[in-house]
Amino acid sequence: VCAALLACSLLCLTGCKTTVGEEGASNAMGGAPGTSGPVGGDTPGGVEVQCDSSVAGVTPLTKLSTVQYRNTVRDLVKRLGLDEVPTEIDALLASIPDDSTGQVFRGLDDRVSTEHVQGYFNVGVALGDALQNDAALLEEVAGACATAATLSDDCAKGFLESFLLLAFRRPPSAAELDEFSALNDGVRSPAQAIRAMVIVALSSPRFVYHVEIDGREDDDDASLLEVDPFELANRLSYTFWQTMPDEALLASAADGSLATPDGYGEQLERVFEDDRSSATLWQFWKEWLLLEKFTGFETTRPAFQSLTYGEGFGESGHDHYADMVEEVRELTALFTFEQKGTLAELLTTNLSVTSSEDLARIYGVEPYSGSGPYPTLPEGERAGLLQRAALLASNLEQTNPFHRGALVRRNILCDALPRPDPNSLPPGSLDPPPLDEEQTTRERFAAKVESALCQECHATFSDIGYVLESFDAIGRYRTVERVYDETNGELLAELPIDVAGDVSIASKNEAPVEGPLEMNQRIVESGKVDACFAKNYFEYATRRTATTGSLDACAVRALAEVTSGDAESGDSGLFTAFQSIARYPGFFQRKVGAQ
Amino acid sequence: VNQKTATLVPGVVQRKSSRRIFLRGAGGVLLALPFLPSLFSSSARAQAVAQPRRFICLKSFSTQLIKQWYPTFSGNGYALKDSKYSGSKADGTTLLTAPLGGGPYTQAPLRDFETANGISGILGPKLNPLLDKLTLIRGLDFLPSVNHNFGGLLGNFSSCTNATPCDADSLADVPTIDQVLAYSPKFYPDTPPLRQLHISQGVVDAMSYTDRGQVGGEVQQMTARTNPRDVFNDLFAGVTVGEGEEPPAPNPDRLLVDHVIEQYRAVQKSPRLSGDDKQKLEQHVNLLAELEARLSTVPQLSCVLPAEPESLENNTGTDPADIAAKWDLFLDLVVAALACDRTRIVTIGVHKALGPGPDPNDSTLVGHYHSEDASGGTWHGLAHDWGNENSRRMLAGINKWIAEEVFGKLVEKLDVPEVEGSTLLDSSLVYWGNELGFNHIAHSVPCLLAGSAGGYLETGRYLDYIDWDNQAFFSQEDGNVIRGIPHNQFLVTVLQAMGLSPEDYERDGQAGYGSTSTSGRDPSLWPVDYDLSQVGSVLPGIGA
Repeated sequence: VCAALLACSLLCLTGCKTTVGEEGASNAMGGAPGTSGPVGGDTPGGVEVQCDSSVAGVTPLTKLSTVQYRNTVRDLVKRLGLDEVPTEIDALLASIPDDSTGQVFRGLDDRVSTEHVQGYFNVGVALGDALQNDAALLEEVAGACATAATLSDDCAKGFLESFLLLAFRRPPSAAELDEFSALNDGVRSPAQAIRAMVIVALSSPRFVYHVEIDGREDDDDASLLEVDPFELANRLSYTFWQTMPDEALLASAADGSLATPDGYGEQLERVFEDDRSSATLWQFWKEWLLLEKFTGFETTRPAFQSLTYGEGFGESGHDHYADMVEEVRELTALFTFEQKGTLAELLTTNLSVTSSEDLARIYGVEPYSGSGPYPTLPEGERAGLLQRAALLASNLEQTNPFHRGALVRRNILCDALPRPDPNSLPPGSLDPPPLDEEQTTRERFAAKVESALCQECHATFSDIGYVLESFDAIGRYRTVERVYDETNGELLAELPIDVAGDVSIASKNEAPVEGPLEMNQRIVESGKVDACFAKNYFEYATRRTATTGSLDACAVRALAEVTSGDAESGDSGLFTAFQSIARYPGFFQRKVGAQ
Repeated sequence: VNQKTATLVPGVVQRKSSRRIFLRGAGGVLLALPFLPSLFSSSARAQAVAQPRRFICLKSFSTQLIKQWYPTFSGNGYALKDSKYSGSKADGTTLLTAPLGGGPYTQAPLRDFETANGISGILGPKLNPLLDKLTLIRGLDFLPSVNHNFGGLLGNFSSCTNATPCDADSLADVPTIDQVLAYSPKFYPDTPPLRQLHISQGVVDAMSYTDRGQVGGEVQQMTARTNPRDVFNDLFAGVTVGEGEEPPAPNPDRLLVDHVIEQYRAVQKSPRLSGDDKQKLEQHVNLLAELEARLSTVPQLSCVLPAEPESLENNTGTDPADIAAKWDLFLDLVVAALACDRTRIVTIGVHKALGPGPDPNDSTLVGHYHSEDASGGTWHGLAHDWGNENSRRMLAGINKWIAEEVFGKLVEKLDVPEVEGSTLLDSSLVYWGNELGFNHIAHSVPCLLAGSAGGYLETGRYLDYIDWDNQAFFSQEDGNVIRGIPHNQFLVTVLQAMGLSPEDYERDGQAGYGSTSTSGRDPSLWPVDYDLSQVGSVLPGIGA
């Protein structure tokens, strides 16, 4: 038995079907519905696009994400006339559970729990109390008639029409007006009646869900709806702002201009140029690149302290990871909004945008002064977005090539890479190889996965991590690896590193690369990263996965084309790609799933 | 009605530390059963009714060190396993000899191992006063092949979590047993204020998976509260406080929930929603119905309202003061929740704890965090580094801290008289379970119980469910794999201890609870030939 118990790998698994694809597969990304073919060129792995339909994929009913819910409540409160969101309501909003990043994007977490329902109700009560207890505010929101001894039907109706237009993000129906008017039962005082209306409205499905059931049915398919103007206004605002439509959007829905091409284009441009859109897009990058999952540097470990000696890690006034993340924000914003560049340009740029002295020192550049040309990264060391420190950082003083390689293979290239199942493996398979002062990290990790069983999967991603051994645990470029004693931080050895690798980005028949610069170029030229970006952005923006064969798949394909700059006509690049999610035909449809 | 705090609304309760709360149900009946000793009166004692049963589950994570968990005591008539076995079976733990349950299993009184250092490396001396009310179990094996998991210790052995979504080979999610209890009319004869309370630090996802009592319905992983203020609000917001005996009126806002539900019903009727959409709305309606019940309150008892804690935001840091302060607040709230009968089910995910730092010569405790995706944090790193003696020292220290400062403190706080002759702890079953056993192996997952579940268990014992004459498959530092007993029988034990019968929890004609599939396990590496004829039975010899 013992012979079978030899260590296997940190990310090893049996039954791994991942292959990197065959030479000669198409990289074509045709755009129009009715064509099909793999984006990224290789199967299995990469993004499958079967685009042969004119109907969007099924759009499930979703709750407002927790971010959307909080934003909506805050905006609603302000639209009602409160200068500031009361601290009491802010505290209640914080108690609504955050959506999980488990499925990469928080917006895909559609669970509703006891805490959600209780929280929604509590917020309604708090807002209702705020109105009931402040006569001036009540008068401002519901009119002077609300301060009379009794609440007249007209007064109640006037309040409901204006309030529900905001809360439901569309005009209330006659039936809804009747239902809410019933709360003005003659027993409740006017203030109490309005309080009750607010409480009920803020727990209503029309408030806490994206209810899209008001559109026109397709003549041939009753389950296919054309979203109505108010639903469209909501889609625009929630896609780009993560909150309710503003007054102009609601007005454009009400006067019909949003339903015209010019009117829609005007609103889309306006919405997209708002700062809230850039915040939404930054959240996309953070979630896609797993920047929220880093749990911090282990700055108390003696070996980590030795590795980072003189860098200020763990010292007051220094937050290296925050600086690293901020650099990614600035870089993505620069290429999206200012330079309107392509993804390829972002992925190959040598500009250094960080103004952090700590991070600039890690890169060996001057901090950006805030004006003038950006410094450039030292030549021959690293390239583009993917080799910035935020994407390379490890908790410990040692790198983990398997984690780095898996991130690229799974998240950047969208190749299937199942999670390891240790119970199908000998014990110890998931344990990192022990430190050895005579072996580099690459040598230790490679020895761990040399068996054919491990290589089934590791052949697809380990080498990517080995190439990234050019960067140490804090993302600093290196040509030798320093090995430190874990317990006392003593330098044990300095070992030359090998950063060549058979990375097989698009095909297993590719020639090996000599280092990270060449690998980065291989990634960019594969086209897979454009397709992967498109797939991920579609999921983030629409909060669902693109259904194979549907119009969604066409949207992913078209997005990839625009992102890469391959589009034959019109603008291209990140700015256009992000915006174009609201221009694909499926954005105007809702397909109802099976009854 | 005493309306001194009549303006209380959910979520913004003001602290009234020394007053008593009165909760009245829809029927308007007030059961005047004081809880804590300071509130006892002879007339109240006379009205005492049977104590309800409570289930509290603590969970710790990753590698557990078997030799640190179990006694390694020799003398006083005991020898080590090394005296009888060789190889990996000679693991340095104490050999038990007294038979247990008529099978090949063994037992011993915990008091036999009591020393000034506790009964084992992890079960330290602060547990000594409680030994008579504890039950230590060895040999519980998860049969399905699982790695990191959330619900395994409570019966959901799927690998699906919010951090690691299901893959094609995963078992389907089933409700965890706390949720079977939460929706059982035997466990809760009346709708409770709160069916369960889930607590954690750092990680938001709970160990609990629920179908909300709809057998066959969608199963979802639940979320935990991470801020003590939220826990307080969940339990005590809207509870009116008074100084007299006159019960308060129900919260009038409960009537508004009906109007909300009507809105859901109206939307649900739309043909423009899919079956899945309607199911989603139906689940929401169920949660609203529970909200209505909470606002209406139920016939309950009087007790001391705990102090409202300050708001301590959740974080992924390892500040020792933050970690310790939150556990102290959480434990007080849990005890108050049970004493006031606001809920009878609590799960506590111990993702954060204090423990020794990396320097063996520095006794200062530092914070440790076991994060959800297991990608970082010292704790998980230490667990993977089990081959390193220094890492094992730190792991043992973390778990010893949990044993004494979380589990031990909770048990101690619960061990106060509730009715004459019986404490809150006596009516409860407090279960400290773990995600895995040693390394990433779900064999011999350590288990420590406190309380007798109202006399159901015979406590004060160490129960070993491994037949040591079985084959030893392999071993690593601090653990070996020898066939023990299906964890499923422990689940059955809990369910029956809480008053349920097989017809209340068995599904699809399968005896017991939870999957018994060993599919995917290589029989040359793992024991797979478990005796499943008794899988629907409680653990042998565990009953009083």
